[in-house]
Amino acid sequence: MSLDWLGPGRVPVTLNVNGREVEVTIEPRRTLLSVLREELGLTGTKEGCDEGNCGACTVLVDGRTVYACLVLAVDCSGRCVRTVEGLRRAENLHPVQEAFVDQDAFQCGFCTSGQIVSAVSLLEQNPKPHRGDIERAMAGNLCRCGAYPNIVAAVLEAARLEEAPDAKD
Amino acid sequence: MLPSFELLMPETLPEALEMLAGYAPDAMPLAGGTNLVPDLRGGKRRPGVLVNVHGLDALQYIGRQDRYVVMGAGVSLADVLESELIGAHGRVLQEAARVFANPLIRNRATVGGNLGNASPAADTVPPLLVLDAELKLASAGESRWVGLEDFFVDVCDTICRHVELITAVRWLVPPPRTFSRFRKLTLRKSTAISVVSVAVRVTLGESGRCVDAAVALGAVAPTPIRVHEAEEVLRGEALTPEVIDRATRFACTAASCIGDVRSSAAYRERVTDVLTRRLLAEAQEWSEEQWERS
Amino acid sequence: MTETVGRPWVRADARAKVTGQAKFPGDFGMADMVHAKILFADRPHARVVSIDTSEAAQVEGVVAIFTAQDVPVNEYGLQTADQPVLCGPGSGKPGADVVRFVGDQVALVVADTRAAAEQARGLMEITYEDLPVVSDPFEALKPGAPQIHPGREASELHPELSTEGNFICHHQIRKGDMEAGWAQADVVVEGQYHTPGQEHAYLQPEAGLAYIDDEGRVAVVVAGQWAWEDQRQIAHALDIPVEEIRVIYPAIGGAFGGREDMSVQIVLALAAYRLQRPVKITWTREESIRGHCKRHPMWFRCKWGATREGELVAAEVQVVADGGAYCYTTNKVLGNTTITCTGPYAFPNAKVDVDGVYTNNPPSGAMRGFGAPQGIFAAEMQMNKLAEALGMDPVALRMRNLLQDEMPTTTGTPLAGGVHLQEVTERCALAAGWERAEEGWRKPAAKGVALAGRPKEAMRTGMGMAVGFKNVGFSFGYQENCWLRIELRGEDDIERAIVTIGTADVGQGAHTVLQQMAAEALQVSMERVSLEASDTGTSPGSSGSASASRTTFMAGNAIREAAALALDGWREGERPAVVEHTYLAPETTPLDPDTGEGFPNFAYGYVAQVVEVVVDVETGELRVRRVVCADDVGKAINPEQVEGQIEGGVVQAMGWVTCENFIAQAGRVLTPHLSTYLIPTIADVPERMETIIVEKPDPRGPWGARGMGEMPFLPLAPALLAAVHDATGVWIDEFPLTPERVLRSLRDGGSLLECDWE
Repeated sequence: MSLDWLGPGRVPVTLNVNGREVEVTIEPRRTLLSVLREELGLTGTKEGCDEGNCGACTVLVDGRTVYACLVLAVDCSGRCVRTVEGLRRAENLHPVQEAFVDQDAFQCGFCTSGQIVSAVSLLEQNPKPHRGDIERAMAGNLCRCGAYPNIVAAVLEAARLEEAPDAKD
Repeated sequence: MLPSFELLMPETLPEALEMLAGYAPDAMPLAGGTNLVPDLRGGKRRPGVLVNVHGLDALQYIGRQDRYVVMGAGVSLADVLESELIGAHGRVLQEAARVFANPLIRNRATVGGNLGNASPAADTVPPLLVLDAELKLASAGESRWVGLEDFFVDVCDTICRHVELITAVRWLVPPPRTFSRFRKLTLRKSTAISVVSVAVRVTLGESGRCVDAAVALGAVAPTPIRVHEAEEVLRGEALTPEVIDRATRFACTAASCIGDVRSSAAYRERVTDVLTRRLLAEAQEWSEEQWERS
Repeated sequence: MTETVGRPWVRADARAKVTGQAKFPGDFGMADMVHAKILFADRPHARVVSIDTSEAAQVEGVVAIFTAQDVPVNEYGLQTADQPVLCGPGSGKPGADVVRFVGDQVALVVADTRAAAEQARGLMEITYEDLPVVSDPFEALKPGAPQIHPGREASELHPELSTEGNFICHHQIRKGDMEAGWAQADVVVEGQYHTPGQEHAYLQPEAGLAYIDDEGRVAVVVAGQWAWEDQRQIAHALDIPVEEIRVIYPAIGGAFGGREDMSVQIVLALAAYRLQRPVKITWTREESIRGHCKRHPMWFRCKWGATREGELVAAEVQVVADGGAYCYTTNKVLGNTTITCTGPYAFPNAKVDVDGVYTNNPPSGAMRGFGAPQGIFAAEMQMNKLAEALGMDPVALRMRNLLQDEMPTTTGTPLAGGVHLQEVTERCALAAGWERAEEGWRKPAAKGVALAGRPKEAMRTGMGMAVGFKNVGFSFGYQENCWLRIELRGEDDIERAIVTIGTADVGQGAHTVLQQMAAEALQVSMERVSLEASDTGTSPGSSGSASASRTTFMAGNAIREAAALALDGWREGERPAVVEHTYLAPETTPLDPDTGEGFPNFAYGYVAQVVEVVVDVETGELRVRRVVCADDVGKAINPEQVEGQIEGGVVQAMGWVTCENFIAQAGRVLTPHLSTYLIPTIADVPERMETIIVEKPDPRGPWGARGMGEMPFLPLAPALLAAVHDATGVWIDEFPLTPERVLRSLRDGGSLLECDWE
């Protein structure tokens, strides 16, 4: 039996972040959030509560949204991590990002990365969401500025943009 | 920052069980981490060793075996929500999954983790209680099935030994003409811990009377509970207002309610009454529809 | 005309924010940086007898530990310096060895890593001598109560500050002849109300980086609301010249008033100054909730009288506010409560007494609305009850009594800048479905509602309305001012206009709006205006705080005046044309300490709301179905952002009234996480929100603009409670409306508020 024993000291881990393989040497207790921010400099993913209650740290792991503060980084070894920094398509904004700009779907912007990642995930699973679907899908992402009505509008617009990229209204 | 621990990364279930055995009682399994990681950070739990069972293939299945629906304990709440099989034969569990926290938590939280954490307010428990679910507790070299009702001992305390892991959950496919539903009351529309949760299952016989029933409550006692006295009242009876009333009163009596920052004990009792009554009334409406259809 | 004003320009920082590139205070790092953790008192009232750092200092990686004795001038505070920077012995400041609430800071541990700093903090040995705790303001005023700040001296600058007992401050109004007023009253309504505290819960917890900049200054990168004032307070505590401190605001993750007072600023600067290397800190959510101030909890006792025809004749209001452990801005917050607690109505006779009280609770300070939401709540509850008692429509009663141009308020002077309370009330009521029939205003009948899983007979719907007003800017005799600098570059045409200003963009979009106003004033395109903002290194003057709904009004006027001067220079051939200018707002006066007479504010905003709810009378749960909000903003410089402010204000107010429940017991915080302090999610927002932007210009506002950021918060609470009354027949005089409180009130026929008013 091969005991795969990590820590408590630092161990090398290979992560796939936004399509790139990166190697970091970290203690097993490090969360994905702290590794993204402190080791990889990907500070677009925010630390809002560090206890899975706010959603500012939302990222995709193997295509599913998670609170990066609740996931150990070593547990993401061999999985695909996508953050807000990995959403752009070439030089263009992702349609969800574009729609957030267009609909003024944020004020302070601290929750925005997480909101956008959740919205991207929703549209990947459900390209034509209704308002109720959006409310259910985005309920883990708090916005204290209360930009919620515009967030709903932005997700609806992004759905339209994805469907017909030129049909921006 | 989390406190230091050693993390073991088993590749198979037998490896995981050996690791748990090797490091008991200082080892704990880590599944989705949605409860454990905050608990570690807050100092509520201090294991020296974590055995990462998240993603173990042997714990990731939902299927039918003979007369049972069986699922691996590593199944996420999102998986439960998406499973057609559970939709068909465990609607009450799927209803709980639908209102379980939010998608971010559901993608990560596992059924085994929710049960093993043993919170009085765990939303998967009342549904599984009314389904008469059993858990498989495995340790290196042996395993046992236990009834979910016998599993919980106290707040965050179960009969699961340090060397054991919850590996599977199963329940008998409910007979046709079974109604099962879940309701909870929370202080916010989404992503809030239950103040009270109620699950009800009612199976109708040929006569339209209730031949079997189960009522379970969450967040009203140190552990989620079944209310057998209420079930006795329902069994063999038509769901008349008087029967519903008597059953509901037993539910309220059984709720040895707790007061905390979310609500007082008295309010919990009141909500237990309302939610139980409403679910039974819904069952009654449903039974009438069944009767008309047949 | 470039016509940049009045159009929905995309936020200047939009692209940076949707791509994750915008840097917030916690996103900065530097080579050679060390990490700090603060040791909080975690007890509500105690004397620090001794501090033993020896074990903590031995943790590998620990660089330094700072305690009270390391702080040159161990005091700070926005209004009065009543709070120690670090609590403990040895600083020479009397009383600085006492902790007065759980979030008082005792030591700063600095280490190579965050983990080492945390570990060492856990090994600090502090010996406390616990002191008796007082957590109820009514108890705090009784003889023999523990004294939180004994031996205070009177303040010349702020005469309303008290030196007596646990009183922080007192305001009062004495207008007309109360006995004559009561004699005219056919109907008298008496009520007692309680409004709870509120946690700001901005999503970005306190964080910062301090370092020594190229010019040898201590630079502090942090989120705040008034960089110039941060700089002043840091310099005071460190006892070094103001010029040697530089405060820089990057992107700020929300503020709502909660960043007006210091959090990490002084200790960060102290550590960087002493160590001469970069120091970083990030608070956890729990530290943030325990560590910064809250909205003032208040208690009201009101007695209002009206004639049978519905003319208001007398109001008597008594207010007690829990100020918590330190003054913060309590005296100013309560100034606003004093003028709003009788509502926007013309009372010939009024008697108002408002007291702020020290307790061992977390300090109360600024939060969106700044004392007005509480005052408006009590006033509008009274008004809606009066309408019921008189058998009058609530809109009709208001239309009869609302203040208008030239009508004196309780302070004896009219509201400045044009009074448009009737307009907002009328537009809101009509949009919500009120009918203006010949015999008067008629409220629409409530529509029933069916919700899955809930019996129809348990669902009650109702509709309620309320009106609000609030001042713009810091006033009450303070000379409001705003500094800025404009530089015009180019040869024939203005190729670049650089506007340098201290103003903070806390998420409200101020920088975009300032750029719009500068482009308009200078008649250049938006692209040619660049803004250098929020850095005391480039803005030596005070542009004032991003609070009190003042930024658009103050900075807009500063831009207008400075732009005119700069264009004069430009036309005379100056290249570049440079102007430094301070706009001075119209003068105001403090309230007379005996009568409350005065001219406290130079501008106001007006708002009216209608709220529809559905109540489940068996569980007490409620759902806000619809909010209609009419807000007179004077001129919407950026209509899209104005709408965002209205919707955001409504959501935040809804949180305060419904799901948010800040619980402290004996000075200890029981809800220090976002899992127990529940703010609204996207699923909680009203099903329908309708915003009506009213544009009645303030002749002295830039392009007619009034302040507006706080106004949408004001009437929601009383409108919602009126809707609950309409649905259930029961007046609930306190909130949050947890389902439990609603159900208990339905059972008891109302609130059972009991306070020890003697």
